[in-house]
Amino acid sequence: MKPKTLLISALLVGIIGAATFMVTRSSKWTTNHPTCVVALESTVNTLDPMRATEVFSGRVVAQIYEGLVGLDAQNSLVPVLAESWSLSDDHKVWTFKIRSGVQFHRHPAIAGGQVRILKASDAVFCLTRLLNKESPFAFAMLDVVKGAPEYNAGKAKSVTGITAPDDMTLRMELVSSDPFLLNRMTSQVFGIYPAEAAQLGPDRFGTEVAVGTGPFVLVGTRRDDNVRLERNSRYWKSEHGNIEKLEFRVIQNSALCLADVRNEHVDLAWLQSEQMRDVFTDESLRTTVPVMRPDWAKRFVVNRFSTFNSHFLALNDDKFDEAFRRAVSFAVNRGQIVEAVTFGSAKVTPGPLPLAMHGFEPAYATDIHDVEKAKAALAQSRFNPQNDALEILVHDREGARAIGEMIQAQLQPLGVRVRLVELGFNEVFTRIIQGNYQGAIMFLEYVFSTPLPILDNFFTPGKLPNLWRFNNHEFNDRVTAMKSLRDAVAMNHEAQSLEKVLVDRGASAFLFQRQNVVLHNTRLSDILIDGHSMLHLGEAKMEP
Amino acid sequence: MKSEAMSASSIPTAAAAVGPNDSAVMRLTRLSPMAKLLLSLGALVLTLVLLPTILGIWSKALDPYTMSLDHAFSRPGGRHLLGTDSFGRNVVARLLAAAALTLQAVTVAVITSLWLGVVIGGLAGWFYGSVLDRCIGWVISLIYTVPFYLIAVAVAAIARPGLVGAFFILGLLAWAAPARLVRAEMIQLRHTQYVIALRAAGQPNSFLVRRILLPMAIAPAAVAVTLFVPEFIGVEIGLSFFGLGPQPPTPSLGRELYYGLSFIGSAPWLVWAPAITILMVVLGFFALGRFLGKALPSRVQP
Amino acid sequence: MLAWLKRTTADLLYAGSLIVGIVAIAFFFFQAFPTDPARLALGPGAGAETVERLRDGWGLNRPLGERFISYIGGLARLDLGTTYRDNRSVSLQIGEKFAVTASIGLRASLLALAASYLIHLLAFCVPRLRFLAGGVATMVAIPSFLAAILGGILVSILAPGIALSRTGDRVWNDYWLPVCILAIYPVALLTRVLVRKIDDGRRTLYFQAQAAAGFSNFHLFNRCLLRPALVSWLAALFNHLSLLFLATMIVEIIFTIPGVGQLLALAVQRSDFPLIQGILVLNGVFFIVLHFLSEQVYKSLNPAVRAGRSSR
Repeated sequence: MKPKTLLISALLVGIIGAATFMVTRSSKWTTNHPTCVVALESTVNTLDPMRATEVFSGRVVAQIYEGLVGLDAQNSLVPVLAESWSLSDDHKVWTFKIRSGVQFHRHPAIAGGQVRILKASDAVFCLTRLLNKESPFAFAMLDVVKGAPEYNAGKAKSVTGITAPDDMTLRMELVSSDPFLLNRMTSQVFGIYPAEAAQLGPDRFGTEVAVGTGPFVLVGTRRDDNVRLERNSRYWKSEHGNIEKLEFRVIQNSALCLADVRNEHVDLAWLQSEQMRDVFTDESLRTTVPVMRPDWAKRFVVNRFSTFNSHFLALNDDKFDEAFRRAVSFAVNRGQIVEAVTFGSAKVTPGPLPLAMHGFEPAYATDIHDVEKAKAALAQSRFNPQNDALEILVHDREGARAIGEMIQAQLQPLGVRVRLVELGFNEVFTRIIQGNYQGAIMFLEYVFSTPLPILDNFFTPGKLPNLWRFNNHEFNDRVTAMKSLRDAVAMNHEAQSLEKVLVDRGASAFLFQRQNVVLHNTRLSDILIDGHSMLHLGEAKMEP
Repeated sequence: MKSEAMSASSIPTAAAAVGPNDSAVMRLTRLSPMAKLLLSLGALVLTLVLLPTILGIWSKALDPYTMSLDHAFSRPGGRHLLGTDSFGRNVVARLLAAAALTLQAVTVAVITSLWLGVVIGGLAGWFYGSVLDRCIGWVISLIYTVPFYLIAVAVAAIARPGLVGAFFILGLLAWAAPARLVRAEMIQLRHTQYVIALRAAGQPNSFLVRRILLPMAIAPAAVAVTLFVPEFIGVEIGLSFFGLGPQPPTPSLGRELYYGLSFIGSAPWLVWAPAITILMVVLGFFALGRFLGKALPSRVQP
Repeated sequence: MLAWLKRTTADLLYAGSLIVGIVAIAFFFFQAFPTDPARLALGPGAGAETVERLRDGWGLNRPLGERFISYIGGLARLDLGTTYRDNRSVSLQIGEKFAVTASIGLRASLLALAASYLIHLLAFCVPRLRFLAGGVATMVAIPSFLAAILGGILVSILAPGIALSRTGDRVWNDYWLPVCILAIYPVALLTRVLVRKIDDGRRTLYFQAQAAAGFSNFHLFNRCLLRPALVSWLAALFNHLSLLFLATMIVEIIFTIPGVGQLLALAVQRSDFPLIQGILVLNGVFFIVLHFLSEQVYKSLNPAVRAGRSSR
């Protein structure tokens, strides 16, 4: 071979070799226990609580970080990093006592790897950061904390309403009273971390550095498709679970995921509604207690948890009059959809407020499907079935396309022509926010665990871009008045009444609320999922 | 694709046993058993897929859209040959409609790429050596070098022009191969005695190009594009699998497979029926393409 | 030597012009897009002034020409900007994933080379198995996503001990199942290319003479049939690299492998234009460089091409 050829070939081989050579990632497990593998349906994009907008990132975030308060098995409030709290007489100043002696996970980049104790200033930093203009979750507290709008607009350097008088005390001053303030803060986005961690920048914080106080510690670096955690040996709470190693593995294809669960390469996975038929017998799916097929029942268990969500056909109120919206709401047969699309893993509810919220009773307990009423309402509306059509956006998550097709068939007898347009989930959501849609199948996993912030943020104008463009003056006034209520029972009652207004006025056609259906093998037990769809494995046990 | 183009002159074709001047019929009778098998397979698939489209009627039994929730998830056999889907719709009807749609989309791509290839290649060949030729050559190099399928898919995913639009985009990128061939043919033909004589006789260039040069140059380009068809079909099915195909409730082969996967444990026919249909369509066109490769005169082969 | 240098420099400049071309096309296509990325990034919680401020922060209100030039400048430094979604460096994200994709693609190609070699050797030595080569060649028509899905399902049923999802620790040793599935297309392709060459080779006098002289099957196959076809065989792989990359992307999406393909799918989902642009540009550059290097190798191996005019 000519030396030139040899040189070029060697160069090529060298380049290719260098490009594909990768040092194997050494496993930093410090224990030899078996790993509990949990499957996620989509990638974990960040471990920064402020940026964890998708529920999958949130599930991992919930293992690493903790907030001031959390939820228990019944979805009622429990103290977590805030040991106790007190309220001023005018109900506008909240004083929290921070739990003492809580250690952050150890990481070389934080305090040189030495002990770092939780302080009130950390809570101030994190809550302030959530109100930053770059934060997607600013809306959670923007309307209620003093000085928040100024900080969010960049006019102030800090939030005047959030201060730390001393190392163990956090003080929150509100502009208006809210007996459910704490229920705004139960979500995992309110996780607390050291200020130094966030200051490392987005390339490191949330990837290589994810330091919280939670029951599990990040091992190595977060990858989009795989995150590994280890039990926190210095956790402040004593828990009786025995899971030492936890792996969150992303498997996007649900068929392959179920195959791996079945072959026990994955220990726990969320069951998609379409997969219910694979796991449960056909006849039992229609009953309240489905029975697993024999080959599954031998080695697997299914748990169902109610979470704070709502699945709906969003109708752009700017484009359609109230009579048409009511007609659609009456025409939709929710029971049929729940049966055919979710195979019984959801609860029919014509209203948007989560049934799982503690103490809340819905305005309508059953479906309001009534074809005669639908026809009557349609006759009153300006919608002309001859000329007009309803364009509904759908996507491929949570059976949206199937729901769209069913609604298309259900509106046909009314003479309403429906055109379906399938887009990516993010695109549909963006178009809804922008108001660039007529109808859309969507779902929301609520960050709040109480009705008032939902009613206030999603159904009155001026807060979030109003998803449904619903705007009713009487409704707005009642929501404002609701804020001055002190009693939780009265609040829930008023919320129920306001939900009735939403349904009667056809804000949108709310369909059902899905339950989280979790499939795991019999080696795993005592798992818990709270209303935010977050997994709690502190007490979980796994047989080797 | 490129390898076929580059190896045009250097490799004797596999149809060496067949002389260049034999008629098509004689060629058919002399084909090997393998080639005959390929031809029959391809023709069968084409018939199955095109027939409903040609007949243009969807009888009640072959309606892909009407839902019948009481008959959802019916097993194959009996009233529904391949069973029903989650909404009680006939699977056979949906697959046939989907296959017809695939063909429509692929036809758009074929026509676009052929037309563009002939026009651009013709221009480049006619003005051989000029700046225009160099520029066109540069663009062709760019298309060949970068992964154009990837770009087409990414553009389709972002712009979402619908299935036909996606194939228009694909056609916009696939013209490079036929353009190269047309250019080569044009360059050769320009210098033949026949053309020089006509030019000397005063015939305008446009007449020459339209009536004489282009028809002769089109043949290899058409064959080159035909060889693309199996790839196009694969891309269409892939695009619809990932949701970039026609809107629901219109069926598409890839998407039917995708939806069926959720039910693989309880209704496996919803996976196997689309999978086998896809294989049949793809292999059928591949067989046809191979047959073309064996049966055509060697001169016309790309 | 001087001639070689001149030719190579000309080729290098040409490759450079292609790179500028692809960057320009990618840049202007995305920047001309009507969606507002700042609104996309901030989601529901932002008012109009917040969105405008973010646009300013990202420099989206600067003139197009200025942005293009700064992008090219950034490209030279391998700085492709930051993603819209979470402000992380684009080149860093792509770099993290590139090794995975390259590892899978390379392993699949090597596997395909080995497999197609063995298939043909077998078909040559055992006349009854001649149909095998033709059969495998036909598989080139199977779309890669179909092979991936069916492959995954079949493996889960027939070999439950093999996990479909992986921890993905060792990039070089892991993901063997997806690699095997990805190799199906190149195996079929390479087998198909060799079918023709071997048929032709068998008709040459050289082969017939050697066969008559009584050389072993192994010698006949390697020396007389494979050797002349070697360059075209390898070239076939290069020529179809684009389709192979698409297939890699599809396999990555189906098996959730953290490579560039998966990153692109995610970026498209989130409409993260800097990331999409960065991937397409880097991809284009990679292929142009590869093409340039392969042309140099091809030219030095094949004196006919070297002496003649360039194929353009």
